[in-house]
Parts: sequence; structure tokens; C-alpha cells
Amino acid sequence: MNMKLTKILLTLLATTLFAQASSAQLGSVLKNAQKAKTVADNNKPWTPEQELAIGQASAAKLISVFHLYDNPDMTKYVNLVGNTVARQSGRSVAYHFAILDTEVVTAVSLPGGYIFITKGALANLKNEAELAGVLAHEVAHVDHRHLEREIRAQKNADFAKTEAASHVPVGSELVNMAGSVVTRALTLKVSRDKESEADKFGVELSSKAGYDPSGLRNFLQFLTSVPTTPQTTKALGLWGSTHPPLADRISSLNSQLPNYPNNGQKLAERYAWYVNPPAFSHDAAPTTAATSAPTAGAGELDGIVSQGVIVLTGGKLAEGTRVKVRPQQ
Amino acid sequence: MKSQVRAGAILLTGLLSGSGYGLTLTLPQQQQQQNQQNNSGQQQGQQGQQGQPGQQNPNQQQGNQPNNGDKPTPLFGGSIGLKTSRQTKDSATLGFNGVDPNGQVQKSFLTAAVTPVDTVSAQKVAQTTVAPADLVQFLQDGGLNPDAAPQKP
Repeated sequence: MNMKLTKILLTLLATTLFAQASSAQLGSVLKNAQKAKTVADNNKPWTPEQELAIGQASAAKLISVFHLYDNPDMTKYVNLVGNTVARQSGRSVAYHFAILDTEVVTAVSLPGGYIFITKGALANLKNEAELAGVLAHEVAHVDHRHLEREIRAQKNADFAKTEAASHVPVGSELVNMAGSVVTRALTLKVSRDKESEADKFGVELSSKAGYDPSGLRNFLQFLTSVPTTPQTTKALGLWGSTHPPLADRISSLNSQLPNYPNNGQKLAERYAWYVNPPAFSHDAAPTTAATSAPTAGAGELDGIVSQGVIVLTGGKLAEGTRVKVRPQQ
Repeated sequence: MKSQVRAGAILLTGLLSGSGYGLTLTLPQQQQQQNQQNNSGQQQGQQGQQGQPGQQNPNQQQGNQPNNGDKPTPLFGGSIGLKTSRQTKDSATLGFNGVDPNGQVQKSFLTAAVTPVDTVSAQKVAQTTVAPADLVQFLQDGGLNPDAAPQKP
């Protein structure tokens, strides 16, 4: 009897120990599976809905820091240039470009195709090719989801703060997320790899769009020539702290530029027409109704079609200027 | 005999209470606790975003204070090499608001709450589109490439 009971107890004990071990294992497996799902969710690119929601909330956050520069004509111009390069990226994102009301020289891209350039940057660009170069670089960041990838990587590193990645964030979750997106964009240095990738793809976009591909390189070169004063330190401090050294980028761009045609448009006149001293004044923004923006190339030609041939009757254009003819109304 | 059965029962109870079953049963509770912690964290975050009733948003503060910053310099003027877009007539300009002398964004600006005006401004940016006809004309005028790249899948 005693033997029988001992046997039963031993069997029960063995079964329990086995169950305990299996259960502990199961718990561990479940925990790991949950962890793996979180990692997998965070590694998934944001859906268009998530990107849009996070992008717009981040845009509001960035605007709260620097405020929007409300100049419809200049904003429209920046959007035209931005869309000219963005349509060469091929990613189906509706890009939105805007101007920030600050003397700080920088440009910022946010998820969802929100790209901001500052008034300080616009005041120091020389031509449309330089503007296109800067905007194309930002488009490249959006195209390659650079900021989004950094946010997702950060979430993987910190499980305690992980929000469910598989839904569109709302309310306080969205506010917190937008806060970390903008804080990251304005305070942390973009990795050398991502910056190099954006420079390379940006040059490609500018060139494909028909611009002089050296626009970004020329602007960076200008920034290296700026003397250090309290005012320039204020204006360029953000650029310096969030980007890799200028010399490295210029050197890398110099090695890439020979791969692209060098007959792209610079459009200095058109740039000066839209972005000029009166244009920065709210009261005296240029209106397209008053006159039209200059077309490509310096100067103009007059002519008349006679027996299928255009006979030039006057005017002068710079050597090498590309010409397209539209009948005068 | 009784003592053996009692000992076995105690042993089994002890094993079961410390086993994975117990752990599995408490998992939802842990999740609930975590959720509560997260919620309270989010609420704190929200409170932080909204600010204390007595505190003023630094942006609003700046807007109310007279701008005693650097003397306005005309656009494309000056001899410092870096041009400023500030206009003497343009009182709306914010100059270097939000950045410290090293050009770094001030923490108070990063943690300040987004105002309804900022949200409306962001919505305005979201609605900014370029009319296809305008873009075509713009490309033509600039001698730029009229063809777009094919859409990525």
C-alpha cells in the first residue's frame, strides 16, 4: 500500500516537475514571441496612414518651434522647385514644402513628405539649382525613410516605451511620437551613411530634373567660407550639430559630380525674381499677375516664323542657353 | 499514511503555486499593470506638453515681448558673408527665436505645447499642392525635364 502510494506520489511529482518546466518554457517562448512581434512591427515601414499622421503632427511640432513664414508666392515657388525634383524619386508620397520663419540656415524633412526650408537658408542660396539641390537632399531622406528608420530603431532598443507599432497613433501617443521625431530631427546628428546616401540620391534627383547637379555642393562650399561671428554661429550651429562635417560631404560630392551631365539649369534669374529683398517683405511680395518670372537663360530673343523658319529679329542670349519656343499670344 | 498524503498535497501545492501556470495566469495582470503605467506616463507626457496653468508657452512669451534682438540687417546686405532675410519693415519676423548663442534649439521650445494655430498651420501645409498645369509651365519656362520617374511599387 505504502509502496503504491509512494509510486503514485512520485509519478505525480515527476509529472508536475515536467509540467512546470514546460510551462516555464512556454512562458518564456510566449514572452520571446511577443518581443519578436514588437521587433517585427517596428521593423515594418510605417503604413501610408501612419506616416501621414506622424508627419502632420511632427510638422505642427516643428512649426511650433520656428513658426511658418507666410508668403504665398515664395511658398508656391519652393513647392514648384521641390516637386520638380521630388517627381524624379518615384515614391508615391504627396510632398509638401514650406518655409520656416527663422534666420537659422537649415532644411528639415519629416515623415510623410513634409519638407521645410528656412528663410535664412533661402537668403543665402544663389540660384534655383542650389535650392533644388538642398530640397532634393531632403526628398532623398524621405524617400529612404531615414528619420522613420531611426525612430523605429530607437523603439526596438527601448521596449519599455514601445507603443503598438501596428496602428495609427492618436492622441497623446501621437503627440509624444511627434515630439521625438522633431527632437531627433533638430538635436541629433544624422549618421554619415544616411547623409551620404541622401547627398548621392539628391544629386541624382537634381540632375534627372534638369538642374545643374552641383547645386548642393556649391551651397555647402559657400557655408565653409562663412566667417565665424556670433551671428553666423547662431545661424549655422544647428546645421553643424545635425550634419556630418561639410568638408567630407563636399569631397564625396566632388567625386560623384563627374558622373552627371554638367549642362543642367542654374536659373539664377528666376531664383532672384522669387527670392529677393522685396519678396521677403509681407507687403511687397511679387505677384505673378504683374509680370512673369524669367525663363531659362539670360536675356531674350525676338523672332518671327517665316516659311517654317524662325527668323530672329533681335535680342541676345548667353552662349549655351537652351531655347524652347512658344508662340506669343 | 495521512502525513504522507498531506506531505504530497503540500508538495504539489507548492510546486503548482511556483510553476509556470501561476506565471501564465498573472501575465494579463502584468500587462494591465504595464498599461496602467504607460497610461500614467502618457498622461504625464500630456501634462508636460500642455504645460502648467501658470506657465506660459515660450513661443507666446516671445510673441508678447518686444523683439530686442540684433539690429535688423537688410537682405543681402552686411559684410559678414551670411545674408539675413530680416526686413526693417517686417515686424513679423522671428529672427533667431528658439536658438541659443550656439545655434542649438532651446529645450523649452522643443517641449512647448503645440498650439491650435500650429496645428492649423500644419494642416495648411498638408493642403499645399502644385497644380499640374502650373508645374508643366514652370518646367517649360525653366528648360527642365518634363518627364517624371516611374512610380515605385
